[in-house]
Amino acid sequence: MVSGRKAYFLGKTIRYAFTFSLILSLNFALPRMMPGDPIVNLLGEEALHNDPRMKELLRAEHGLDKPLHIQYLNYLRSLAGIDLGYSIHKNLSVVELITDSLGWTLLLVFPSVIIGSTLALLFGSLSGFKSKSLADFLLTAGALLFYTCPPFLLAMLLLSTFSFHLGLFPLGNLTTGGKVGIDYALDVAWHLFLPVAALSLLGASYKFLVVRNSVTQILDEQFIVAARAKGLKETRILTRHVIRNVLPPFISMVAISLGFMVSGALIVEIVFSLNGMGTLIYDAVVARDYPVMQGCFLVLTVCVLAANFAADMLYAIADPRIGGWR
Amino acid sequence: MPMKRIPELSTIGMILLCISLIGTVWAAQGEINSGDRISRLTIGTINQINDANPWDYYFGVYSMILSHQGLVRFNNEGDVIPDLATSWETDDLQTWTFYIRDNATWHDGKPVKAQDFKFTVDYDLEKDPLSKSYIGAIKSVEAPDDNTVIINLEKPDYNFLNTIAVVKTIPEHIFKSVDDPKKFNEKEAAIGSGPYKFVNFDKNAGIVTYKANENYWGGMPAIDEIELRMFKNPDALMLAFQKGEIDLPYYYSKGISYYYVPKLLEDDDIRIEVYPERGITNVFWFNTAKAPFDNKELRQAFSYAVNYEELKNMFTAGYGTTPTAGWVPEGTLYYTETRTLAQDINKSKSMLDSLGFKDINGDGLREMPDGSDFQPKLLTRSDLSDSVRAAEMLKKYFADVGIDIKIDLADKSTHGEIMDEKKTHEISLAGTTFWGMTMGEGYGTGYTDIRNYGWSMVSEPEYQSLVDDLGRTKDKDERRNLAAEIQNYYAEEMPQFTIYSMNIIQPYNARYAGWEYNPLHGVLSYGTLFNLHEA
Repeated sequence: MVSGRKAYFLGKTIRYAFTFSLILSLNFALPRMMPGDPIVNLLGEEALHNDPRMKELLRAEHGLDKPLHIQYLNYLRSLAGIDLGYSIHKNLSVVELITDSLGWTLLLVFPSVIIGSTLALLFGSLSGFKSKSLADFLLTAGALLFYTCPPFLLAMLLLSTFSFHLGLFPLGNLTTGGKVGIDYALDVAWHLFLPVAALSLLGASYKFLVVRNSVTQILDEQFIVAARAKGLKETRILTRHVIRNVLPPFISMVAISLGFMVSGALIVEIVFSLNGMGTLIYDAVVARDYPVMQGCFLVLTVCVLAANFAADMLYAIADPRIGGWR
Repeated sequence: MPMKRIPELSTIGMILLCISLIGTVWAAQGEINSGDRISRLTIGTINQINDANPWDYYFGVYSMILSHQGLVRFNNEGDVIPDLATSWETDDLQTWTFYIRDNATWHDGKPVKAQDFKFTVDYDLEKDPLSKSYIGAIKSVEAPDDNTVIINLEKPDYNFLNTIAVVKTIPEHIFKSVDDPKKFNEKEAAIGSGPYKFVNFDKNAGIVTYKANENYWGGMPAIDEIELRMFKNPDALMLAFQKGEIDLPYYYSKGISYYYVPKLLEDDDIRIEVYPERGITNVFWFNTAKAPFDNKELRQAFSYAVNYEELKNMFTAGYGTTPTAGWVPEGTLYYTETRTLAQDINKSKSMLDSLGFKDINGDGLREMPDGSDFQPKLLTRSDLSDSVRAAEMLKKYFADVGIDIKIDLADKSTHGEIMDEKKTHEISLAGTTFWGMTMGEGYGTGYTDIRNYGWSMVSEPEYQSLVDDLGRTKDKDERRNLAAEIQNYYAEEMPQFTIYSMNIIQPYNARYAGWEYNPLHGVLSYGTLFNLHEA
């Protein structure tokens, strides 16, 4: 029994380690394979004279004049020392840029995933269990509405309604400024309310539909018929038998969305003027800021892999047949 | 265990929700005026400042507007006037002597000296390779005494004052011990000599604060505190403006989109001014070094195919100007009248016919004179939606005269790489700025001349000698003639032509009056900073 669990854990660890090392190399190669040059971008409109020496100097300053394999070795060496280099465009260390943005992104994304997933599980189960009822109809219609609504539109509608017309929330940014202690925490919560609401609704709508459909399908299974025949109460059937079977795909979905949302909150960040990973990555890609791109993708890789790894482990708990527990 | 965390975290989420609602009772506090002075002006912008470091692009821009100064600056007419220098002289346009005012001080109280400017140029050239792009032509700088700066150039340059106007002076006593200015993010890094002192940058609030410099040599400016509030989204910025949270939506070197105007016109608390644009919103560039675009008749034939009135209506909603063949915007010194650009399909077709671009295979599209396919690629920036739409319109206009162009979308970086470095474009779309038009020897020569930016890659000796003459001629009448010749050259040769140009639409809080427009910095001019008052 123990060896099965160990083998499962070991197998997964090796697989994740291999994926991680592969992604590290891709992370180095992809930005360099894109057309466009960070140095030309840096020079931009200011460049009065096309002085080739100037470009060479700048390339040398950022280590871009060296052959690719040397750049790759330097990249690996820096990673080992958690030195992600200096942004070509933003004049700040990449570690500083990322820690700053990642903290805010997690503060935005974590509550959104938790709230969105909880809502989806709660209402999805209810809707699936009460399939074809009025509640099911209304909930499904609502979920479809949010699911099909473009994120930008939903975020702008929330901003326009609750911030502009009703004046309940600020029109953007993370804080008002000049606050400390509990006032600061309250102020941040006030600023993050609408972005979290937008992301929660968007996340919940998709997960709701999956949960609802899973519940509907499971209700037709023979073991449910058997449970009913045994005279089990409906609530017990739902919590004990239905939800348990919905959990594995639901956990995968939550893990994927968590990894994705670290980078995918871009639209919400733009609408609410937040400093997060989404805008950091977007700006770096547009400017071909290699060090920032590499650093961000590395962090994303770690987030996505960690979320998937956690999902694999939770999956095994939720469904003992998978993890070798039985 | 992890399963147990889910309800815990959702509880935290719910608490977050509750405290957020409690937090809504706070309302943004408007500024209160004391007497005639304005206590606080809030400016909203989508320009993103990353750090309070003068080497950060946008912080550098706002430093130049508020806290830092050059030897000279542009006035509201776009002419160069004294700033830290009270006067200057040159005999040969190669050696320039500037006399520094003796009552200027840095924000920390120390006097501004000629040595500071010498240090600035030497330091910039040593520490920032980028600086070579605009001060690379400086051979040496001397500071024989506290008030005299002598600048020696590699070659005579009449236009040097325009170049030096964007060099912001930094204090030697602060930076002499700083090895890498780009990583020097201490508060002293923002010390300048201008009318405003940098106070604070709150990145998470997206707010940069400046206070009036009570010791400014030119007197106390009219606004006590300036707050710069950053938005990432222009719609949210305009909502904040309509709500009264900001007094001025400001985009560096641009106005707002006409899209917002009807809504703003309904608001009695808002006024709108329209200023003439001294850059050009969208220009059609030929790579004249590449056949067949080395042929001026072909370039002219392209220009006759475009419906300028339609483009003006579509992209400027009446806030634009009809372009002229002389390309240089009206308002430029020694602007010369040239023919207004207008669509003439028949003329375009007959010119193409006579050049041998004919439909040989009967598919409705013209082939090259040698019978090969003629499908030029129009390089367009994919991130500028108006440019993409304009490219689609151009494709339609050219198809009407039998030319099949292919739209080649590229993001900002790739577009820049092709236009500035590789020069592999055939035809392309890109705008110009006021300062860009003053580059080189002015009149857009920086964009045109192959020895400079050269987006249209012009290398003709006739043109280059005009440019060189402009660089070494001081006589006003001669300069007027040369400027006219350059504009007539553009009108005849058409290395590039404007497809539409939008004026600057600048709304502001009607509560204040005294706004003054400057072609480089827009409504954030010294005129505004010193004259703004209650309406």
